[in-house]
This record gives sequence, structure tokens and C-alpha cells, in this order.
Amino acid sequence: MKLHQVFFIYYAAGACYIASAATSRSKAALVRFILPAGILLNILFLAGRAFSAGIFLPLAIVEEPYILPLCLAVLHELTRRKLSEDNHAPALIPLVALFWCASLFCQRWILPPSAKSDTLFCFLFFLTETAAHACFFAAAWFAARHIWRDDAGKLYHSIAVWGFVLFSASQISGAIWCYLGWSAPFMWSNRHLQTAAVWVLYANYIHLRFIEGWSHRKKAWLLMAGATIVLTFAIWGLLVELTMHRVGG
Amino acid sequence: MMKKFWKILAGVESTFWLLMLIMSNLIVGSFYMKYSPKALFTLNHLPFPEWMRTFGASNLGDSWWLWTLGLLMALLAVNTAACVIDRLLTLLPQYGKTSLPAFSLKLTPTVVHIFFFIAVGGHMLSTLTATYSSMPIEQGAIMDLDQTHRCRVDTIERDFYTSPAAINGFLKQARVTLTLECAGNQESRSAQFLKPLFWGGYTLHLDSAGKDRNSGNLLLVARRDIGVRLIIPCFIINVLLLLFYYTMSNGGFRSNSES
Repeated sequence: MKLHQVFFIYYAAGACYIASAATSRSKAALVRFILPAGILLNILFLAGRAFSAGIFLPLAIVEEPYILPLCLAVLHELTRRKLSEDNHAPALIPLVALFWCASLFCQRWILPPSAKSDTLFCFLFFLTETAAHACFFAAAWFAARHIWRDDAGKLYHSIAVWGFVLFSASQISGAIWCYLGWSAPFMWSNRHLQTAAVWVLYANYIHLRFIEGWSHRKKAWLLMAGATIVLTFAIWGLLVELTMHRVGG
Repeated sequence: MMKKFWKILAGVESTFWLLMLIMSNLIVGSFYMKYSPKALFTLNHLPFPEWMRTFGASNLGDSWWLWTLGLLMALLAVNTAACVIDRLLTLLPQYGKTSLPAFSLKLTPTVVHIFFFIAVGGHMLSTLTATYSSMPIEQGAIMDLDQTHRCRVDTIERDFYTSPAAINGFLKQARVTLTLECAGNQESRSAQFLKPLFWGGYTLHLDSAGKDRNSGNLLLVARRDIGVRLIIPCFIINVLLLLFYYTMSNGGFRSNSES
């Protein structure tokens, strides 16, 4: 299957995400079927994308724009039970649809394989980093709901904490990959310093519960600021990637 | 007075402001790394004192943020150490009074901070002492790592993708066989991309030379870095401890009272 054909699966996944977002309030029962279908189609698309060049390219699975909606949809499914107790079923679905729409503006073709990316640590780095980003965006989303609609409880705290753990795991796999490929676990470079800034920000967040005077509202604001920084750096990274050679077109 | 000073030194409020400043400093630094002269990037290839002598001193306008970052990291190290001591003084008398799992859970954040402290120390060691040398790989090329360690390139093998057509000619892997000499002893070993060779305190890595990764031009990188032995294991232990802590404490909610 050619890459442009594989994209039809992604459009189908997107249709499921958008339909879920559109009907989440009126037909919650229907969403329970449509969203998992979207998740399944998104997984199929990523697998198809990885095989579309004629050989298996695992990094095509973990490119952030295309796996982020999937991570958020899975996160929604994981938090759904907790949320439905509070009767707030729509939860993350609009965010899933939003990031799916945003991914349509990103590079469609695949980064070619390179001798320095042919390691499991590279795959794990991108996978855990994107999963962490999904947690940070989801935490900010729930934090915003907490501020403006006073719902979603304090779920955002748990999601941010797990995002931090995933992000730390991504830093380790990234450090090992960097050490094997570039001889040092940390490089003085734009990308590494941005990542370190994000790690420090969320490390700081998890210390806040020990400080008096930090209300849940103030913490929620910090999470939204954090997600804005993460999003800015992610867009920056995507712009840098625009100059890279790609295959499949 | 001393008590008040200690409270500030070991306080989480100080941690908060230090981390905020460090984060801002890192963001500023990332802009300098992106838009400043290449001299900043050479920091990756020289120990900091040597870099300061050669590039840093003449590029203070671009490197000031490194000084503030160093200062803030030093303050964070002091704050972390004081915080750990303060916490241990509170926790240790409780040993035996609570169940072992509950005590372990309470102790975990402190242990995480100790490993974090060691990892930051590893980064400092790397920045101050790690050596880096490189040479283009050609058959017969010789690299003197120091007075006693020398390596010679014997054979070079390059493996390119031949199919599918989209990636035809892309470099897949390369392998160099090296003769390593130390104090009269010789041995033959090989290095590949992502499979460095560990020898006499050095790691020998294969890298691409130039911008075009698929040209097949290779670089041999020799690095001596004792910091890395602290950084990676400590961070691995920390992630495992974080997993343990947040799984056991329900995402950090259960042990709120321990603060």
C-alpha cells in the first residue's frame, strides 16, 4: 500500500474522532463505540505508514503529529471511568479531534532511516516523549476546565504527575541513544536545552504540593503555561523538521 | 537567626524559585544555542575550563547564560543537600515506628533527591573534565588518544540500502576494525554506529562526517567521560523510584500529609 493510500485510514480515524467530539454530549453511548474504532484505525494507519516505504521503518510510527491524537484518545479511555463518575463524559475528545485536525498541516512523508537512529532507545524516546506530551496537554485541558467550569476534579494533577514520569523515562532513553550515537548523554544544543527546561518546569510542578499558598487554581494556571511552552517547542521542532529530507511522496 | 537561614536554605519555596530561574535560563540558553555563533557548540567538544580560555572569554556576550546557569545549579545543589538532610533528620527517628512499606514510601522522595544530586554531579564532572577528540576515518589513519593509547584504522566496511528505491543509497551501517595499542600491547576490535567500543577508559564511537549522513564519510570519536557513569544509572534508578512512589501513593495524592 502506498503512503497516500494509507492516509485514507487516517482520515477514517479522524472522522471517528470528530464524530465522537460532535456527539459526545448527545449520544455518549455511541461514542463508546466510535472512539475505540478511531483508536484502532489510528493504530492501523501508523502500522501501514511504517510499512509503506517497502521496509519496516519503526520511527514512522512515533512521529508526534500522528501518534499524539492516538495517545490522547487512549488517555481519554483510561480516564473515562473516573470522569463518568463525575458525569463529564466529553472530557478529552475535543482535544483529540483538535490535534488530529492540526496533524493535517504537518509533513505527511516519512523520515528516511539512518544508521544513527536504528536503535530501540530512539523509538522509546519518541514514544515516551509523545505520551508525556499527551499527558501534559491533557493535564492543561483538565486544568482549564477546572478553572473555568469548576469540573474535572483534580484529575489534572495525576495526569501531570504521570506525564512527568513518562517524560523522565523519555529523557533516559534519549540520553542512552545520544550517548551511543553522539558519545555524550547530553549535548549543548537548542533541542536538549528546551527539553531540559520542560523537565525542570514539571519537576517544579510536582514540588508545589509541599508549598503553602499554592491553591489548585494557581497550579492549574501553571499547568496551562507549561503546556503552552511544550506546544511552542513542539511546533518549533516540526518547523525545523520541514527542512529534512523525506521519502514516500 | 540560624534556624531561619536553615529554613530558607532547605525550604521548598527556595527550590521553587531556583527551578523557575533555571527553567528560564535554559530557555534563554536554547535561543543562544540556536542563533549564536558556532563557538557555543564547541562546548560539546572541550572541557569547560579549556572552552572558557579559547572561546568563552572572547564570546562573553553569548555565553553569560552559562555562568548564571552554573550559579543557579550550584545553589540548587546546596538547596537539595540541605533539604535532604532536613528530611532525613525528620524521617529517621520514625524508623521502626511505622510499617516498613509506609516508611519506604516516605523515604522514596529523599532517595530520589540523593540520586538526582549525584546525577547533577555527574553532569558537572562531564562538563569540567570530559575529553573529546575526533578524526576522519581513512584506512591506515592513526589517532593518538594520549601518551599511551593509540588506535589505527585497519578496515572500513560501509553498508548501504539497495532497496526499496526510495531509500536506495542511504547509509545503513558501517563498521571499522581498529588496532588498539597500549603500553606495547595490541588488540584488534571493531566499532559500529550505535555500538561504541570501550577501551582503556575511552569510548570510541563511529559518527558521520559532514552534513550529508549518507555520503559514507565517517568520523572516529574518542571520548573520556567519567560523569556518564553517574548520570545514566542515577536517572534510571530515579525513574524506577518515581514509578514506585507514584504507583504506591496514587499519583502523589495519598501522601500529601507527609509534607
